[in-house]
Amino acid sequence: MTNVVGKAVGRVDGEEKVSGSARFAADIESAGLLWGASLRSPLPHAKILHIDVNRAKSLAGVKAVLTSLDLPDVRIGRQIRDLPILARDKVRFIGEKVAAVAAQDKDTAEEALSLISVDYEELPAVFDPSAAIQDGAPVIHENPAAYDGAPHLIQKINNVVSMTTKAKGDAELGLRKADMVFEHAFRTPFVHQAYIEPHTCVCAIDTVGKVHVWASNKSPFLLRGQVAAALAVFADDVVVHLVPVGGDFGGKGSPMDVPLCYYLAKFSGRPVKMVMSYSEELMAGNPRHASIISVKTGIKKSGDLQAMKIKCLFDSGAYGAFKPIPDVNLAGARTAGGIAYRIPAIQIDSCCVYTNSVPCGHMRGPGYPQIAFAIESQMDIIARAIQIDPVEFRMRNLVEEGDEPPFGGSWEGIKAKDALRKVVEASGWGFPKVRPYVGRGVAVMQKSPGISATGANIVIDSSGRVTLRMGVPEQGSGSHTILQQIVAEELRIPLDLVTIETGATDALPDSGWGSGASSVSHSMGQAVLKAASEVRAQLLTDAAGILGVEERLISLENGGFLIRGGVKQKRIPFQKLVSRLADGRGRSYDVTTIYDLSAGKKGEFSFSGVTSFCAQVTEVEVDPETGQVAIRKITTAHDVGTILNPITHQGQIEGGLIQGIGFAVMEELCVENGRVLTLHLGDYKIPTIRDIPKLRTVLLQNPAGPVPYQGKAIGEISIVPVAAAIANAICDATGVRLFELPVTAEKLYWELKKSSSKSCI
Amino acid sequence: MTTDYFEPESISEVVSLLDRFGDNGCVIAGGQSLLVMMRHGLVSPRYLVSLKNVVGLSGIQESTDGDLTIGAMTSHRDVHRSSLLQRRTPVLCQAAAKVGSTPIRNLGTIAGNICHNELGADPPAALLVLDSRAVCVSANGERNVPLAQFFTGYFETALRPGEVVKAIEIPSPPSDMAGIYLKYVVRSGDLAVVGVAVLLGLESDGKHCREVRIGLGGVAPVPLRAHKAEQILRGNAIGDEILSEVANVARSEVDPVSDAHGSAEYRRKMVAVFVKRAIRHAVDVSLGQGAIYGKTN
Repeated sequence: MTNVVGKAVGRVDGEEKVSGSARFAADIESAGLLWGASLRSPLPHAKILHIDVNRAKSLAGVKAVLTSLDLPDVRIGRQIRDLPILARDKVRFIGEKVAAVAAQDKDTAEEALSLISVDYEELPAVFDPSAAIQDGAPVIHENPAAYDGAPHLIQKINNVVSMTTKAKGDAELGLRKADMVFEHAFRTPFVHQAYIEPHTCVCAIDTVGKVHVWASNKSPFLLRGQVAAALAVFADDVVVHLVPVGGDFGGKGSPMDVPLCYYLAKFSGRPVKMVMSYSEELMAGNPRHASIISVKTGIKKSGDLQAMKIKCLFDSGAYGAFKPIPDVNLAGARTAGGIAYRIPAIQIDSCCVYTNSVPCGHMRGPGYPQIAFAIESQMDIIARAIQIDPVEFRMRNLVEEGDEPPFGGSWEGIKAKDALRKVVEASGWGFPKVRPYVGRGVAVMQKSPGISATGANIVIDSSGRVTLRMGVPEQGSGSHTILQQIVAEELRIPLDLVTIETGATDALPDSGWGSGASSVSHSMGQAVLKAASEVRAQLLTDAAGILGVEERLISLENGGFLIRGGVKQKRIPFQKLVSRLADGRGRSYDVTTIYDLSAGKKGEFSFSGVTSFCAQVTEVEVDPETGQVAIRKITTAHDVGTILNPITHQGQIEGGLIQGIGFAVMEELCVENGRVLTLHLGDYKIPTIRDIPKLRTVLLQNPAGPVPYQGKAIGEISIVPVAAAIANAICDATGVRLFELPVTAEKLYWELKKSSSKSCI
Repeated sequence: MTTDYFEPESISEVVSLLDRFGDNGCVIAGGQSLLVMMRHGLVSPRYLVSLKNVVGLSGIQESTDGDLTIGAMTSHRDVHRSSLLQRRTPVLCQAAAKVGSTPIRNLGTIAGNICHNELGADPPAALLVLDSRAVCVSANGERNVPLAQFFTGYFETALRPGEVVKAIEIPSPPSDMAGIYLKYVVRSGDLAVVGVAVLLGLESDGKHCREVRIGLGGVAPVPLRAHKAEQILRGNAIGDEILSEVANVARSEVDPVSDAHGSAEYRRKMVAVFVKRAIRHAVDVSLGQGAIYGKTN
C-alpha cells in the first residue's frame, strides 16, 4: 500500500504557476540590467563584406555593439560546435545573428539594430537536402569534419553533417528473396515546438569574474559545459541558476543566445537580458528536422515481413549545433525510431544534411514521429495491397515476448500485441461507420526511456522539514511533483513536508542531461529514491539508538516512527523525533546520491531494456468537397507500468496526442527559399482546444519498468503514432494516400480530385 | 517610440483630439486588431484615442421605423447575444459568433472590425448583405457611408483622417428573408479562408428565389457582394443546376490571394462550395427545415 505514489496529487508548482508568482528567466531583474538584441541575416547564404556599427554605437543609451570581430573565433554547440556566436565571414541562413547590441531598454536596442548596416555578397544557396548532397551543390561549410565534436567521418559527400548505417541481417538479400517488395517515400516538414516561453536568458558577471546565467534551458549542467567551452573557461567559472522552463517539448536544450548574452554583459560591464521574439523563434529557433524517408519493404506471400531498408534524409538546416547527439542518427538509434515489428533483416541509413535553412534541433521523440509516419503508413499500404485487415497484418508481425529489438539487445515484457488488441476493442475498429467518408486508421510504435547519470540531494533540518535539492528544472511536465511524491513515499510523510529546491549548478549534484528522452521520472526518480532510502536508513538507525530499541522494531509509517515490541505499539510524529535526532547529531541530515547506469559511450543516449508500446486508432471524417479532415476520435492504448501520478501521466498522453494532431494536419514552418513565411503563431498553426476531438486512453498496467515503483516512460510515446494513424484513417475514408505532412485540406482536396477510384493504393 | 494614450468621454472630444493629431492619431476600441498590429510593429501610432469611456457608444437600438443602430463599441459577443439582432438580423449574429475566440469576441467591437478591414473578417460579409452603413464623424460633421463603399483595399477603408465610426446602421432589415453565414477555416478561431453570408427570400411557392444577396469575405482585397451570382439566382427556381451556375459565377467575382495557407485556386473552389452550401442552408431555413445555429462549419 503506497502513501502518495499513484495518487492524483496536484502539482507542487501549481500555485506559483497559476498565481503568476513563478519566476521564469524573463522575470529575473538585476540592478543595471540591459536589454540585448540581435540583428539577423536577411539572406540565406552570403558573404559579409562589411558591417557598419558606428551609428548604433553613438545612439544614446547603447552600452555595447558587437560583431564577430569583437569576439574570439570560437564556435558553439551541444555536441557539434559549428555555430559562430555571431556570423563570421558569411551567413548560412535567414535569421542568423550578425550583430548584437545591449542597451538601456528594448526600444533603444531595437533602434540601435536599425542603425547597423551590413554589406553582403549573396552566394548561391541550397534548400532541398536531396539537392544539397549532389555534386556541385553550394558548399555551406567548407570543412565540417574539422569542427569540434563533429562525427568522425570521411565527408566525401557534399554538405553531410552525419551519416550512419545500422543493420541487422542482410536487408538487400532479404529484399531480393521477398515475394513482394513495396517502396515509398514520405516527407515531413520543419515543425516548431511552440512552447509558450520563447528562449530567454540573463547573464551577469560577478566581482570575481564568475559568469551567472539564468536561462530557459532544461539541461543546466550541459549548458554550463557548453558556455564554459564557448568562453574557454572552466565549468566552475559558470554558474547556471535554475529557473522554471515555460515549455520545452525538446526544444530547450541548446545554448541559443547565452554565449552572446555573456559577451554583451562583458563588453557593457552590466548584466544583460535577451528574450527572443516569437518571430525570431520561428525563423531561428531549433525546430524538428524536416525529413524525406524512403522505405523499401519485402514480405512473404503469407504477409510476414522479410526485410526492410530505410533511407532517411534529415534536413539539418544551416548548423548542427542544436543537436544533442553527435552523429545525429535520428533514425538509426538502437530502437530503430520506434519500429515495433519482427523484421529478420533491417537496415537504416540515416543522413543528416546541411541546407541554408533554419538549424534544427530536437522535439518530443526526435526522429520517431517522422519514422512512424513513414513506416506505419507503409504498413497500411501493404496490408491493403495484400488484402489483409491492417490490424491483422500488424498482429502477424508485431514483436512478442522473446523477440529482440531491431538492432539487438534485449527487451522484457513486450506488450505490443496487447496494446493493439486493447485499442481495437476500445475504439470500435471494425464497427459499421456512421456515414460515407468516415474512416479509421491504426498505428503502433514503441519508445523506451532514456538514461542519464544524475544526482540528488536530500536534506532534513532540525524542524523535520525535508528538502529535495536537485538540478532538473521543471519544464512543465510535472516531474517535480513526481519527485516530491517519491520522497514523501519513502519517508511516509505528507507531501507538504517535502520542499523542492533547485538553486544553481555550483551547489547541486550534477543532473546530467537534465530533462529529455522521457528520462526524468526514471533517472532522477531513481537518484531521488536512492537518496530517500539512504536518509530513511540513517533516521531509523539513529532512532533506534536514541530510543534504545532494536532497529528492526522501528519503521516509518503514516507520518511518524512506529515502534513495535513491548505491550503496545508506540508512534512518534516524524518531525518531533527527527528534530530530537538532529539535535543529538548536532547537524541536519544531508544525503547525496548518484544514479548512473548509462552503459553507452560518452555522449550517447542509452536505452533501458524495458520499452513501452502504444497503439492508436483514429477516426476521421473527410469533407469531400473541401478536403477538410475532421478528426472525430482518437483512442490510444499504452502499455504502462505503475503510474506515479495519474494527472501528470494523463497530461503527457493527451499533450502528445494534441501535438501529434498538429503534426498530422496543420503544423509546418512554411519556408520559401530559406525564408520562413509563418512568422507568428497566427500563421504557424497549432491546434486550439476546439480542434481537439474526443480522446480516449486505455492503459494496460503492467508493473515492470525502470522508473521507481516499476514505472515506465510516458513523456514522448503518445505523439509518435498519431500522424500515421490519421493518414491511414484518411485513406480508409477516401481511398487517397498522402505521403507528405501536414495533411492540409487543400492537399487532400487536389488528391481527391485526381483520384477517381476509391481503392487505396 | 512612446505612445500617448487618451480616454475622452464624449464623441466631440474624440473628434477634436483626432483633428489635432492628424495622421499621428489612431482610434482604439477593443484593441483586438490594433494591439496585434502594434506588437508586430506594423503600425506605431503616436497618439491613441480610446473610445472606452465615451458615453453612448455601446448598445443596439431599434427605431420606430425598424431601423437598427449598433453603437461602435458594441462587442461581437453583444451582437451575437442580442435578442433583438437574433430576431431581426440572424445572419449578423452568426457572423459575430464566429469571430476569433471568446476573449476576442468579449473585447473586440463590430466597428473596430470593419475599420481594421482585415482579410477574412466575419462581420463585413453579413453587414454587406444587410445593406448597412457606417456613421462616420469628424470635426467637420457626420456622414453615412454605405458599407459597399466603405471597404477600399487590404486594411483600407473610406474613413478619412480625423474620422471615427460612431455606429453602424442597418436600415430596416428585411423580415421575410432567411440569413445564413458560413465560415471555412483551417484551424478553429482563425480568420476565414472563405466567409459567405446569404440572405434569401423565397416566393410563396417555396421554390423560386424572390430575392438573394450574397456577401463574401476573405477572398478579395475587400469583402464584397457577388452581384452577378445574385442576378443569376434571382427569380429562378432553386435547383442543382442553377446553384452550380451561381457558384461558378461567384467564383469568378472574387480575387483571392495565394499564401502559406492556401492557393488562390483552392480558395476560388471553396467560394463555389460554400456559396452553394449557404444558399441550400438558407432555403432550408426559409422552409422551416433548418436550424440556424446547427453545425454549419
